[in-house]
Parts: sequence; structure tokens; C-alpha cells
Amino acid sequence: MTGQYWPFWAGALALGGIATLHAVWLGRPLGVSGSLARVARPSDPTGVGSVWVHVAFLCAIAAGALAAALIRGTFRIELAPGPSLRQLYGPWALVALAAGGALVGAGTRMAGGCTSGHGLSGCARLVPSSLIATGCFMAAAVATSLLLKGLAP
Amino acid sequence: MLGLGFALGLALGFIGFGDFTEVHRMFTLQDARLYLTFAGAVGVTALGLRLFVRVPLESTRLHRSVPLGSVLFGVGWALCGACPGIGMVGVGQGALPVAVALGGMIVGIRAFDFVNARWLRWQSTSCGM
Repeated sequence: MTGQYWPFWAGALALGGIATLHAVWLGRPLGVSGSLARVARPSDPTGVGSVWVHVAFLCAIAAGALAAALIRGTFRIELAPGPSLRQLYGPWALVALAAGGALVGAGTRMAGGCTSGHGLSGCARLVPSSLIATGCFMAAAVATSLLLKGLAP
Repeated sequence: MLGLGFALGLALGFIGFGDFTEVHRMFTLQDARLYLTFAGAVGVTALGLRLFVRVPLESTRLHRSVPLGSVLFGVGWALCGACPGIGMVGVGQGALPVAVALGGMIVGIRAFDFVNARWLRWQSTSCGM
């Protein structure tokens, strides 16, 4: 599988370059959960920026991924969860997606950031709360995944 | 901003961050490539910010909500294979069931805001927005 994807250094250069350009051009760190939270609360008067700007940003991410899948020749509309999800969860894959998503939403909102905001933009500046956040979500994700793997049939 | 979003989705797609199998292999410690990618990206960002960004950027204050929320986030990410950015990548690649996880995220964000406004009253500042 791994061979089809970019080697780590190419991914590191691309993501690091994007996070840097985001801070240079927009004057604030890259953070996707911030955009998602803005979109989730369209009528919040304390929200930063127009909702539609964040909708457009999120759609641009999806469009970029679509382009990558088309270039790699892997684009395929899938209506049902993929084989690895089905192997882990059987008929409960959609429930796992919904429950996992809810935890991601509540957790990133509570923590004030996700992989891009805390993990990338925060850790790069050695922000203490971001270093703690990244340690916590990585450790929790590894522990959960090992448990899932152990429990899977 | 839109160009950056497009580039982010493109890069995540080529890296394989939107592939549940790859992410699960990372989290079950079977493959170090995504960890190296992430660590390298932190290094490149650190260098880039130091060289090109003069203004101080907003940071999240240290509060117990940060480790607590991050543990919830980590468990959720392991369960559904998607963080907010990767969820958009998954849908863009054609994996429509990932939209269920994105819907769950929106419900989770609103649920936390509801609980926070009524009982917790934590002053959470986002690192991104």
C-alpha cells in the first residue's frame, strides 16, 4: 500500500509549506477544526469571519482530495464503508463513524484545535498547550486502535 | 485561502492520510511513514514560521479542557479514521460514508457548546479561529 503514496519527506515538505503559507498570507495559524466549528454554528455572533468563507475552505480541501484521487486513478464513489472498516466493525461501521465523528467534534471543540491547529501549527511554535494536546490525542488514538485491533474478529 | 485548502486536500490525498487502512496502520504501530510525515511537517512548519512570520500568532491557553478534549478527539479519530481535515479528504476521494463522521463532528461541536454554555462555562479559545 505504502508505495503508492508519497514518501514521508515529500508529505512533510508539502504540509509544512502549506501551514507556513497559511500563517504568512492570512496572519493566523492553519486549523481545520476552527473552520468546521464556524460552519457548525452559522448564527454564532462571536464567530470569526463569514461562514461561507469557511464552507468554501472545507470544500476546497475536498476538491483537492478529489483531484489527488483522480490523478492517482483511485477515485471511486463508495456508498458503503470500505473493507477495513467492515472488518473492524462488521455491520456497525456507520455507527462507529457517527460515534467517532461526534467524539472528534466535541473533543476538538473542547481542546480548541485538531491535528492541523494543535498538531502542526501549535507544535511547530512549541506552544505548551498544543504539545500536550498532540501527546494526548496521539496516545489516545494509538491506545484505542490497539484495543480495536485486539477486539476485532 | 481557497488555494491553500485545495493544496492541503491534494497533499493529504497523495500522502494517504484520507485512507482508513493507512491511518489504522499508523495507530496500530505497523507503519511509521505517517508519523515521519507528521513530524517532518512540524519541523518544516517550525522553520517556515521562524523564517517568514514576524507577527505573533494566536495560541490556545493551557486549560484542563485541552488534554481532556484531546483524549476524546484521539479516541474518536481512532474509531472513525477522520479528523476534521481528513473527513473532507475522505468525502472528496469518493468515500461518501465519511460524511456520516463529518455529520457526527458537527453534532459533537454543538453538543459540547450546549454543555459548556450551561454547565462547564470553560473559556475555550481556538488555536485556528
